[in-house]
Amino acid sequence: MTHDKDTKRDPEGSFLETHFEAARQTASAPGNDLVQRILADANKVQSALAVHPEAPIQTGPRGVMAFLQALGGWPAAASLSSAAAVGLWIGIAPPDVLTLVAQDLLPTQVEDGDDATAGGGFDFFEEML
Amino acid sequence: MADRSDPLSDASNEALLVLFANGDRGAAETLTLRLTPKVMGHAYRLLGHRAEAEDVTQEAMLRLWQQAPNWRQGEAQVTTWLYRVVANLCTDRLRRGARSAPLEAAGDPADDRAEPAQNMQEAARAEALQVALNALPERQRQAVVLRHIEELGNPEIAEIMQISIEAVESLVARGKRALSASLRDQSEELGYSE
Repeated sequence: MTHDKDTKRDPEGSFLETHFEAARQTASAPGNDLVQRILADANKVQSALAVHPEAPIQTGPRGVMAFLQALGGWPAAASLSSAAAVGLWIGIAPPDVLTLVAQDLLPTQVEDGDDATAGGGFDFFEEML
Repeated sequence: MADRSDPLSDASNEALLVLFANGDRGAAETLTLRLTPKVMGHAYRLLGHRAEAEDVTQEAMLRLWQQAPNWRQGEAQVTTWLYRVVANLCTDRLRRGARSAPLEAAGDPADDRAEPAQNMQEAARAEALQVALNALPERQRQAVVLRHIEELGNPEIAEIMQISIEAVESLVARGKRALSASLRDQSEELGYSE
């Protein structure tokens, strides 16, 4: 018995063990009808395997799974999704610090009051008309 | 039920499953006779209803046959896999609320082979235990049944239930406390004591 130690330590153990033992002794046996149904299922599956022996064997992933595998699996797909979400967020609501960095880095800047640069294009079009 | 003259009777479940996938009809019969009582017993303990336990048993065995061609040797024991399938099927049924009231189920005959004169008190105890098991939360019930009726070790139960060994111990301890309290309430009525 695998529960002897438990029974000795736990005063409730022997009380419960009599019930567990009773359950083991009066196990719910499968009827002959059930056994016949299970064997009939087994025969059907075996017959199908004999006709299509290669059918249950998967040769490789298809569809979405194949695409995910090409990307590098779930970890790569998760990283790609995260990067895309962050990019979208920056595009919709860029943080202030990003604007400051962009102003420092971009070569074409517009100074307030610089008419030659700011209005040049407009004057050109007026002359053309 | 197993035939000692059966040349397959000494083969492991995993080896028999390979033979089954290769078309051996004898392997199907040996596996059925060997595994069905275990599967049926476990399903009955979890559901408390014989007819539903039979349905679950047939479905679990069908899944085993279908799994046979893809069975990967060494990854899991057939019995461990089956206990997990049975638990999942029972959980689905319990959540769908498809089964009848547990107390009705407790009145089902527990054993067709039982000799009534010899086993009346045992049957009463088993029935009382089943009523108490039916009242437990599903996971506690499963852990207690696997530990104390199927007599599996905690590591295998942990693998079946896909939880840690510590979690198994906790579930079993809580389940036993609840069972003990429930059975104490019933013991006077059933006319037996410690």
